[in-house]
Amino acid sequence: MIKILAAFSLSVAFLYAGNIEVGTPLYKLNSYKYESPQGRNMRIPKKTKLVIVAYEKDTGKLVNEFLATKNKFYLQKNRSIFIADIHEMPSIITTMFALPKLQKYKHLIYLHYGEKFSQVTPSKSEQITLLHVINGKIDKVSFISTAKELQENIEK
Amino acid sequence: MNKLTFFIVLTISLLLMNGCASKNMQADNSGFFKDYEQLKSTQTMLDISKYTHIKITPLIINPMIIDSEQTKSQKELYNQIKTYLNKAYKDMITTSTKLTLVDTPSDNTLILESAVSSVEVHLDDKTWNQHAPIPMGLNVISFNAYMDEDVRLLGEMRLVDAKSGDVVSRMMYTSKDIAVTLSGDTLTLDDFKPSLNAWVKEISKGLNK
Repeated sequence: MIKILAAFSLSVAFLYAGNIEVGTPLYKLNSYKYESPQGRNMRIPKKTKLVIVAYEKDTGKLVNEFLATKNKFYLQKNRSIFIADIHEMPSIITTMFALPKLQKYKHLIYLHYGEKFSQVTPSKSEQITLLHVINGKIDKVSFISTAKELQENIEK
Repeated sequence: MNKLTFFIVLTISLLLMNGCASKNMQADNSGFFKDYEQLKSTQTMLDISKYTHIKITPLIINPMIIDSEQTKSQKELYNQIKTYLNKAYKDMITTSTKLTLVDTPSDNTLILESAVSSVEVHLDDKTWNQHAPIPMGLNVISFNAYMDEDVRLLGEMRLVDAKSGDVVSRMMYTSKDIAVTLSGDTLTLDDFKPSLNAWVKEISKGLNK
């Protein structure tokens, strides 16, 4: 029994250590692979202040439609990046329909295709995750669901 | 198998093949050399002591932005870089005691062909391709890399025997310590000058060995 408990504790500790949460250094996000819709490998910029993450089609659409109304360097000038986790999208749908559409956007999108990212980053159903970064570390995690909140947080 | 079944099977197969195709379209290098396999970093130049003359061909710039998408200021920047480097090459040869600059090649003449481009480096990440091309200009992909000082100038050069056409030596160089630093809202010649000077110095070292 003690061995089982010890193994369980170690497993929990291991999972916890891998989580992206308050206090996690920003560079840890680079443990995951990102690509632009054009297929270029991307890294999280060192001076990022806000990481916007969308895990679902509708939240991703909300972010993209909002960014499409802005200058193409809007995110960069506000030290923000947008990660769209599309691992749940079937590969054939991604290639045939999603990528051609995403490639038309002028703003930059970090696409993530792996499963683990969504397991270690905080998320809520039908909400957009915001990772607020100060001095290279995640200082706060918040969740939003409107374009107005998105703009306020980007321009904060 | 009737025609309809054949058509459906063919369509599904094509869709599946397309779905499984790699999404990664990133080029691994600038494309200046035909073969990069043996040229992962700076290559020591071979013996060129038998050559007495050198002809310099105009610099090639690989901006990784297609012509139709280049802005007026980017085109102007590329012309400035060409003028700056071509002059620096000529000055370098003029001060050389081993080679004389010529316009018309003859026996014992080398032809210097060179290109420059920008690459994104992450020297702390061993999995990153340190020669990953990045646009020589600001766009949504490159903006952050220039802001973070993660861009380096990549210089590529080959020396060709003017008579035989054989490649005598070739070299590829990036300075680890000298970043192309964005000082304003657009990239200017001044942002590239420290890297361009380091590149010329590296060629000079090779030619004067």
